[in-house]
Amino acid sequence: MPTPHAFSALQAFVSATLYSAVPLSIAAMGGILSERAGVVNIALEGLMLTGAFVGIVAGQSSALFGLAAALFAGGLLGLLHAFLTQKTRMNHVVSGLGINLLAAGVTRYLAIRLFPNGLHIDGLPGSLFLLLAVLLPVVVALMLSRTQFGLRLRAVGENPESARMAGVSPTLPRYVAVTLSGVFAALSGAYLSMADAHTFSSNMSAGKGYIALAAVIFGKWTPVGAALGALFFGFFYALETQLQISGIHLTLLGIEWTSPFLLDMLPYLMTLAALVSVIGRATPPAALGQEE
Amino acid sequence: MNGRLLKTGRLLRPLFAIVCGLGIAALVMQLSGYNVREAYSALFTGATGIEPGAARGASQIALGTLPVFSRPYHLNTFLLAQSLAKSTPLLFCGLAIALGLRAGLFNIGAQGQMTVGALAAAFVGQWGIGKGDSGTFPPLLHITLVLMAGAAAGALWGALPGLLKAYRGVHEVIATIMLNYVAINATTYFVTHTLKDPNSAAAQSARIAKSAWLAPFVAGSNLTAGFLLALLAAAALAFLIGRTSLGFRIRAVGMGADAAAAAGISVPRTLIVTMALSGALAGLAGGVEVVGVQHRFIQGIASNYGYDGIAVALLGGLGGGGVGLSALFFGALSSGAAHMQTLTDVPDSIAVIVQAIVIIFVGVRYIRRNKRNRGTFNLDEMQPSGSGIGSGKAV
Amino acid sequence: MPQTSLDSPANLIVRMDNITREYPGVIANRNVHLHVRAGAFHAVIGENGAGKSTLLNILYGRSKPDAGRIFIANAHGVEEEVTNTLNSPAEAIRRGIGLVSQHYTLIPALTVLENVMLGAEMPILGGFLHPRRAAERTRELAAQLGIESLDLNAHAGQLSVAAQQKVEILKALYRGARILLLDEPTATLAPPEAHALFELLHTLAAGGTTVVFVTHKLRDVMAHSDAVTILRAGQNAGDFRTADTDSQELLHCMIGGGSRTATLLNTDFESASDDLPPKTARSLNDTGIAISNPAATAAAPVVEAIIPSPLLQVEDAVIRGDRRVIAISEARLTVGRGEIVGVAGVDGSGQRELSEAIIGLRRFERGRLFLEGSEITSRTVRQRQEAGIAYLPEDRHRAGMILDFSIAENYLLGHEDRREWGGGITLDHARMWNRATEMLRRYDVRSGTNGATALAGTLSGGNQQKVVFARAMEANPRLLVACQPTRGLDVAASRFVYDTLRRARADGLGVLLFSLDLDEILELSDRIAVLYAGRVAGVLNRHDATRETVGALMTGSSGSGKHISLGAQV
Repeated sequence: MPTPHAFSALQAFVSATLYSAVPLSIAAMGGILSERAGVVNIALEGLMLTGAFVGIVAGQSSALFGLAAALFAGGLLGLLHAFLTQKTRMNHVVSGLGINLLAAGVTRYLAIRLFPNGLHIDGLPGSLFLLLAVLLPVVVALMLSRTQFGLRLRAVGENPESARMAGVSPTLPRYVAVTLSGVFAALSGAYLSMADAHTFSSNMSAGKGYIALAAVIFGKWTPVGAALGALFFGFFYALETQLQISGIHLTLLGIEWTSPFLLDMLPYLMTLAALVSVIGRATPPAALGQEE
Repeated sequence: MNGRLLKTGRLLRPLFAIVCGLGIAALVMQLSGYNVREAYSALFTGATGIEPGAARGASQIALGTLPVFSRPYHLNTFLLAQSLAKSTPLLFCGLAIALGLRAGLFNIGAQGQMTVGALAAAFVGQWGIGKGDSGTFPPLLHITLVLMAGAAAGALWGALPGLLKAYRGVHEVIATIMLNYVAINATTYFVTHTLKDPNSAAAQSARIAKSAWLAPFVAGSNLTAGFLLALLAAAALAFLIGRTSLGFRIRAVGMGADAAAAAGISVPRTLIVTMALSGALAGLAGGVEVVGVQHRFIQGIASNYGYDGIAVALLGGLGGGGVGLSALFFGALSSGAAHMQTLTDVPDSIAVIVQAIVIIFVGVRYIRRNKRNRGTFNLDEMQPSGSGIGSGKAV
Repeated sequence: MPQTSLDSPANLIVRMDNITREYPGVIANRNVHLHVRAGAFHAVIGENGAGKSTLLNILYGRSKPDAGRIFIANAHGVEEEVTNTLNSPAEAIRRGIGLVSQHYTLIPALTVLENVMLGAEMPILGGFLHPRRAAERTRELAAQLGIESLDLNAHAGQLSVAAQQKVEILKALYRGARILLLDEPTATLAPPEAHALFELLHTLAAGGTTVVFVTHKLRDVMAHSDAVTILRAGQNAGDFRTADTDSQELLHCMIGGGSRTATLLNTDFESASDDLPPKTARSLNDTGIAISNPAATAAAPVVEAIIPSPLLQVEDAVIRGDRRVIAISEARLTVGRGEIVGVAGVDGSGQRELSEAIIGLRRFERGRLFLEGSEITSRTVRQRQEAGIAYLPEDRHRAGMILDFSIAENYLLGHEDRREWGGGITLDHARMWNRATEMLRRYDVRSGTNGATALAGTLSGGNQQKVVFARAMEANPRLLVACQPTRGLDVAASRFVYDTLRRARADGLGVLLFSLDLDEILELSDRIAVLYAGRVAGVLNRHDATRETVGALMTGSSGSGKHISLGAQV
């Protein structure tokens, strides 16, 4: 018989899993939009950081305004990524790295300049983001499979020249997708600062953008798959925290399997395995990262 | 790559990117209410060691009265040494990335390869350790062994994504990003468990034997023979690329994988060897950091060098000399920014902003050259022609 | 004599005048006109490189002409100038033009229905697709085209080539195309499929659709078109009503006096004209007797004389293609010393896979490969080169050379381990340059003032091919594997290629010539192996080979086989 205590512990664990998955799931939707349109987006990390920062700074008087500003900033930076990769034909990875650096540098610089002693925010309820994290994958999935824009986006990501021959210019779907990708990533970042930490610290995205990207790959570039991937990765975070709190150690064959560092490795290892595996291998959109 | 194509704008564009970076950063500082002149003069001093005022003490060399400024200046050798020391890992990592790009591989994994290299170096560095960290090995031998361990570990860690790319078609950017995180977590695990420093709660290894220490050139600084080794590596890379058949094969695979394969060059093998060599260079960065600076493995020993190396390689244009200059610039920038922060309160992340802008401006520069034809060395595709990202087959 | 124009603008649906399109170094179209009557079944013919595809691409908005004017009649028959507005395929589609390009543009990862809808989605409120409505309309069209069996939810990548083409046509009609352009529609089709295609097109034409198809097959033109525009070397070379001309006249206009085919092949027009009336063509197609057992027929004497110790021997090769499907099955082939063996076949019949497997770029799934009696099945490309196989790849720009390498570097490519070439662990630049310079002189490569330091990409196609040939020949090979060696080359460069291959034969080398150009095969080969659907459908001695016999084998529709002598071992 489960005791009330065990029950509440389970509840806490489930909640921790869900909330760990929230930022990953939301950002992964951004990654999906961009990558399904054929644009590699390792800028998710920087876009998240931007969202986190702008949300805090602009959200001081009104949290919702802060959120809107964060999304706007993310969209703007996403647009920059679209412009650099499409108009100037910059390598997608170089552009992504540049944007990540820019976001890291500017947010840190401004954070030190504007609020050297930190900045608190009451922010927004986490449940709002949880709701979005659940809804967005469904919305994105529907959009991809059921709408004109989704069809065009997929076509452009598979073969821009074929799309053009069919009368679809690749430019618009790609710009829209990558801009939206920035909006989603910023939303995920806003969760980190406004709903989770209630403050901003430099580099607070801490690689979550890359894990979101891993979730995209792990989920084989499908929205629901990526969301499940995010949930899966979130489970390990929660597990890690839980193990640390409860002080459980499992050492076998001289290896401490419960070490947070080993658990942290799992999402990446599993993503690699998904890419390598013989059965059901993750295959990216055909024109991903390529010039038109 | 054949030089002539690049000649036009070979220096101009990188310089333009740097000027833009510094200019925009100046604007940012101005707008946020800092004194730009003050900040940049502090940055310059930190970067070059050239300071106003008469020379004092042994570490300062009088430069006399410089024209234009009409006041005495001196060279602060400590600051210069720190600046060059900062360039050392950047140069190794920049070379690693440049080498990969020569074969059309974008090695984002220098960060992980450097970390793994550093751990291996720290491990070998503890061989023969005695009382008071004294070592029983002859120093030259020990240092060589330590560096070789670093290079070997980096090479293995680099060869892994090379293998995945060559035989499973996994794109190296994705694989190396994942492996970076694996490397960082795995090494941290080791220094919190088996290789943990027994005298500290921090995630770090015990100190290596003194026989594996490199002595600084300038007292108190981090500038060691490691810097010379990095310069040597730059020369070796230039030689490898331009003068050896292996370098020829690497370039051939990078510029036209199909033509290379048809000519009997094994593309998978070349990709793996390139990634291993690239990883070895990054691993050396880790090794040098251990023997020259930290004398142990510490968590985060690779700082951000692996990623910064990408900026170094892109700015340097993939040649040994260019990457050398580029590493000196970024080392000086980073070192100068730290100095600036202590003197003027301007956050040193201004250096990161400069770096971001430089990357973006240099990234744009590859447009025109690559539009000429397909299937050639191509930063826009970052991979040998004919192999779609993650395409199912080996190229 | 060719007329310049047949019709007054009044009944024209497409009018292109004075179209000029220049690419770096090539004038693809010079003052070209194309006048198409509404409801016509219009053929545009010309040799490879005559500028047909360029013209079609301009009409479909894919490339802009440097000069010239374009008029399209709208649905009410009123002519409108579109010269400046025809900027994209989207605009062409809007004007009622559909293109079925030579390389199909279906997206494999999307379903048939999605491919059909793409760009013409007609979404309902909120941008949502209405797949049911789209499917109904598609089925309706499919029924009209006689392809009701099409599975609309299958992924396009799973369709056969012929089915993909039909979907392309469906796509165009779905967009309301009044003018259907087809670029070499029968190039990759087997004869019965081609036949079915034309029936479908005739149905469409009967319903009022204007059909414009580009081809170099006179047979199709004579059998199906009602008007012909001929292009030669980027210029107009005649306009005819099909009823008023014959294939000989068309051929004459098509190849003219200075044509490559005429100059090089010396083939009389009668046999090259391929002038079969449609009925004969159909009866050939319909017989379709497969050659079940090539080994059953006795070997021809010539074959016997050469075979005793073959230079190259392919035994029961099974080779997979790019999508892991079997591209070559149970292929047997021999090449003797001092002979050129031509491998004929339509595009996609396995030529590329077979050539790549022989030089080592592709694995033998089963079967064995011998060079001079020793097995080399599992050797690497490099080992095979060292054993004496030289390779002249089909795609010069992609596989033949590295365009951003200098000539000298390209010359070293593949020999970078050899001291005498300037290779080795460290390169000997002086030797490399000297050797390359010497090669340039001997092969008369025009590389401009930069000599061997010039980038390969700056050379003309002919000079590039000379460098590729020189590199192969200077390795003193025993077997040359030449793939499409004259593709895209002009007359002089093609002659160089032919001379080189013949000289190689005279020097006792074996040559394996893969070509899609049947004239080239007939011109050069001593024996001809014909591939059909991945199998060696037959091997003929040159004396026994005619366009008809080879053609029949190429399309798997060989008749009685009485002209065909099948080599025993081959």
